[in-house]
Formats: sequence, structure tokens, C-alpha cells
Amino acid sequence: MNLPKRAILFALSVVAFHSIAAAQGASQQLLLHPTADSWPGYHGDYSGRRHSALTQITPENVKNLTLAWAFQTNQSIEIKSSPLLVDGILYFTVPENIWAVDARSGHEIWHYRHPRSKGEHIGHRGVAMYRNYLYFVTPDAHLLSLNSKDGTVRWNVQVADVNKGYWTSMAPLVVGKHVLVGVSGDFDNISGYIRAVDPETGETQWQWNSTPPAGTPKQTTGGMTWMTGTYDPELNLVYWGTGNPTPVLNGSTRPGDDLYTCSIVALNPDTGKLAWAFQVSPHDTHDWDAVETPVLVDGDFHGEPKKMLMQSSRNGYFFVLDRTSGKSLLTVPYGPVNWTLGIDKEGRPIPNPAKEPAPDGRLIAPDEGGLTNYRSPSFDTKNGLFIVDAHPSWSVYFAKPADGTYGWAGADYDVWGKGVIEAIDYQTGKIRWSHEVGPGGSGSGVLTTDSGLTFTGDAFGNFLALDSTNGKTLWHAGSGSYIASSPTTYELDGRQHVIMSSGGVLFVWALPEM
Amino acid sequence: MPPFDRSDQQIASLVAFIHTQQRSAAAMGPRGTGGRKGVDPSDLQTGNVEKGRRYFEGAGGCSSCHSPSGDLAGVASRYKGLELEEQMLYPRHAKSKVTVTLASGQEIAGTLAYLDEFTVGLTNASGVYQSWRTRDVKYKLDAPAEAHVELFSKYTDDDVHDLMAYLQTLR
Repeated sequence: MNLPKRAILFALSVVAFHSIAAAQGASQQLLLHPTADSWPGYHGDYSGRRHSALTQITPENVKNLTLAWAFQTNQSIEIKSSPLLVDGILYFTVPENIWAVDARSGHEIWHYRHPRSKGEHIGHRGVAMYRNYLYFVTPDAHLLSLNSKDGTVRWNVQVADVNKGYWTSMAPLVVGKHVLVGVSGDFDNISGYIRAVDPETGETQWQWNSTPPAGTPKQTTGGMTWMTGTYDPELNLVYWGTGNPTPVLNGSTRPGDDLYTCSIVALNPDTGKLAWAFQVSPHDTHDWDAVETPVLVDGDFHGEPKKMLMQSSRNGYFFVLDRTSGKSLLTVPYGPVNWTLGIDKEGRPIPNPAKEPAPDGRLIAPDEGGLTNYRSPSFDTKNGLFIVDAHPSWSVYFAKPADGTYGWAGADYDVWGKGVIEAIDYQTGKIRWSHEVGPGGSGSGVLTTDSGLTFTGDAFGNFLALDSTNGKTLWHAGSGSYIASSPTTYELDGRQHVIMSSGGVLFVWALPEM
Repeated sequence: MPPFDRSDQQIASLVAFIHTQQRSAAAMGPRGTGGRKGVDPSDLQTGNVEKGRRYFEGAGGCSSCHSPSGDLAGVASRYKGLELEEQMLYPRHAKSKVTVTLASGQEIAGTLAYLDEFTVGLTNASGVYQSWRTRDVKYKLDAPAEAHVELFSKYTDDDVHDLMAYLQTLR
């Protein structure tokens, strides 16, 4: 066929434009409106719902899901990160390592190895991306910016002092021209904070501290910010959870609520100013960080449209807040809890003093790991269900004067637990369906899709696809190791892929190629 | 740091002392630092033996499976302190039994070796492992440890301490 010259030139220019446009990296537009062929931030989008509009894989055809490819990191540290996908390249991490992998073939493009550093190597949630730069935190609490094309380091700034007991493990959050970083640490006398850094230079723009400086009378330190927050572009508010106060199991030196530990806070991302705070566990003595994903949902609540924030928290309670004001809409347990005297008029649990750690032990539900932990829940907008990997559990907590009032200041022992995927009706807290996933705990986060599928895993390393309406298993595959991450999905070459990791291996699933 | 004005022997003693302290702290594991502390048997003696015995024979339902002169005779010699309390609350090593019924109607019984949503496996009396897809068989579990799980939401902390006091008499 002989096409007119103009048509050929036009076609070439379209291809050329697409190629240039394709190398934009993670632009502000992509971060605000992720395309089907991208996953540009830890949560996928700013809402934290981990719910995909992709519908190629359906409850009817998911039984045909097959392995597209696997990527083996050839090391034993389990993957906890959510891979980013931008311009056909996946970026994911374990502590001190970033891999860039071709999303089509699964082969490695580059691998960055950070020199062995001090600090806790407990895990790593992934990188953030802004334009063609990656942002990566290290165990010794540094933030690096790297060039996405080859993993070369642009700059390296210290975010916290590892010698004081800080470390970092989270995937930063890029909002506008700010890279937001949170910190980890279990020692006394250090405060948690969120720091905003310039994406071009690494300079600090602002810092919000969750607790006042050590030595402030009747106040506590702690309140670490170790999970990635979420963002509402219309309200221009960033939502973040904070961790526990210290000393951990002994609250006698820190009477009162211990603000803003175990809280959900709303900050202005341009200034770091606190808009509101809601405390999930006033005066916590069980190490129940409230860092779980603050999931943003717009919908009806008891007949009125509301901008909501939902958190399935470690302490065993499911919270629904109005995210414009921080006011409580609903507070209900989503599993066994036995440590409160009820809920106060602000919607906050009232801790029972008789269930604080004691010299002869107190039987507590849930255990220290919590009714859920860092793995992501998902909000299924189609079915109005908040789906979470829950860990009904019991433990014994001890604290005696000889334990002192520093550090852990006590001991806790897990007695029993199991894993259950629960689908919670967000307006009532009722559990619409649940799917048992084994003794111990499931370990896998949750992803839902518009076609009615819930992707998750069980305690034995089986990847699962469930029917979102009733929790029934529609597909499974044994992965051979412990699942410690949350699933992601994207479309490439007209094919929907689902990534689930287990141990040190990424598994990528899709329907068979035609 | 200014030099020590001490004899070589005194310095050697000081160094040895510091190293010993370091080893002791390390041997305590995280308990020696700001990490989790420990629990002494003496911490767990706040219960009442008689109340514990009444709970064992009554509200706790323990005597439906256990006997102080039978399976629990000498339990407090086998387990002490925190370990005894943990076993009492949930005996994590207790094995379950399973009976699998095949489509043919044949029944195979053994000790449960593996169970997930998709596969059930047992070891027979000779210790040999066999498994089936759960979709192909029916199976019935006998999991004695699960009765302990049902008690978690029923115990008061006093019940737990009283039961501990009673069990510790079974030496």
C-alpha cells in the first residue's frame, strides 16, 4: 500500500512525540492521574485505596491466570516493597538495594547496591519517583536521589541521626515539589517527624514533629512516621499515621494522651502546618503504631456525601473520619479486642488501666504485631468494602519496676494468632465476608479491581484471587515462601499484569497471550 | 581520653571487668539493653491455688480433656514459669489428628501434617506422609488445642493467675 507522504510524516511525528512523552518519568500529572500503564508511587495513586480500574482479568477468566515472568533477587531478604512502574520499567527494593527491571521481559536493567550502613535493616517499602529521579532511604537514615535511567546517585542527604537510634525504611511521598520522608526508631528521647525535602537539591523545606523535644515535662517522645501517607489534591492535605510513645510498655513517666503518638494527622504539604489530628490510641502501652494506610474515600456515609479517611488500625479498631475536619464518623473493632473501656465521645478508644502491662502479666487482644500491620488494605469502590488482612490474636504483656522506664520497659509474648481477610462494610463496620488464611498471619496486603477481584495471599505463601462480593477463591498459585508485600497491577501491551512477591522473588501474572 | 594512672595489673582487671559486663549484657540478649525484658517465675505467683483448682474443674472446662493425675501429672516439673503459662494458654506443640474420607468411602486416619485451603496431609502410624487435594476428599479434624483458643475471650486475668497457681502444684 502506498500511503501519502504527509500521512507517513504525521504518523512518524506521532510516534516520535509518544517516545519523547514516554520518557517524562513521574510527572506531577502522572502522580495525580496515574495511567493504566503506570504505578508511580507506593500506593499506586494518592488515595491509598489500592483499587484498580483495570478489568481485563475478571472473576470468569482469572482461573486462566498464568506466570508472565518472575524476577529473582537471588538473595534471602524478603521483598516488602511495592514496585513502581513508569515508562515500562519497574523499580523495587530491599534494604540497600534498588532493582530496575524491564516490565515486559522481567530482565534486569540496573541494580543499585548501597554500601552496608549502620541502622536497622528490618525492611524497605520502595522508592518514590519525581520526573526522572528516584528517591531512596537507607538504614542509616539518609535520603538519596538517583537517576532513574542508570541508578547513578545525584545527591545524598542525612534525614535523621542513626547514632541516636533512628533508621528509615519507607517509600517517600512526592507531592508537588516536595519529597516527604518519615522516620523510624525505637529508642527513648527521640521524636518522630515528617520532613519535606526539595526534589532537585535535597534541601530541607520543612519538618513537622509528632512529639515535643525530650525533656518536655509530662510529654513523651516517639511517634515515628514509618509508613507512606496519602494525599488529597483538592483539600491540599497530606494524611499520615504516627507510631507509639516511649518508653513502650510503661506509661507511668508519660501520663496523659501522649500527643501526637498513635495518631492520624493532616498536614499542609507546602508548609508542614498541622490542620488536624485524631488520636487512634490515647496513652498507648502496647506498641500499637497507627501508621497503617490512611485510605481516602469519597462516598455516602449514612445518606450524606462525605470525604472520608479510613484506617484499619493496629490496635484492633476500624476508624472512619471526615478528612476535612478529622472528626470521627465511626469507630468499631474489626476483630477481638479486650483492652478498652469503650469509645469516648470523640470516637477514640478509652484504654482500660487494668489492661496495661503488669508485673504478673495481662492477657491482651490483639498481640503486639496488631490486628493488622504494614501490609496495605484495599477499598473496593464498586462494592463499598474495606478489605484488610486481619490478624485476630492474643498475647500476654508484662511490665514491672525492675524493667525500668526506658526502652521497651517490659516484655510481651504472642500466644496465638491467625490470618483472616475481612471485607468490612465501611458504613457500619459489619464484616460482610471473611476468608481464613491460616495460622500465624497472612502477611500479604490486598489489591482490588473494578472487575470484582481481590488479590491477596495466605499464610502458606499461596497467592489468591478472591471474588470481591463473597471472598470465594477463584484462583491460587503456591509461591514457595512467605508473602510480605502488597499486590500491584498495571496494563502493558494491552495485557493486564498483577505483581505479587514472595520471599526474594517478584511473580508477575497475566492471562495467556493470544 | 586522659591516661589512667594505674598499674598494668589494675588496668588489665578493669578491662576484664568491662568485657565481662559486656558479655553478660549480650548474653541477656535484647533484655540487657533497651529491648524486651524478661519474666521471672517469681513474677507469676499472684494467683490462688484453690480458685485455680475450682476454675480447672468448673468454668474453665479443663477437666473435660485434662487430669491432674493423668496427662498433667508432673506438668510443673516439665515446664516452669513463663513457659508453663504459655503452654497453659495455648499448647503450640499439641498435634491434631485428622481422618480423611476418600470418594470411595475409605477412611484414613493419622496425625495432621499439613493443612491449607487446597491440600490436607497426614502422617500415618508409621510416620509416612500422604496428602490429598481438599476438593477430592472430606476430612474431619480433632484439634485439642483449639479448646484453648475458645477460652481467650472468657478468661479474666485473675483466672489466668489462679490457674497458674494451681498448675504449679502439679509437680
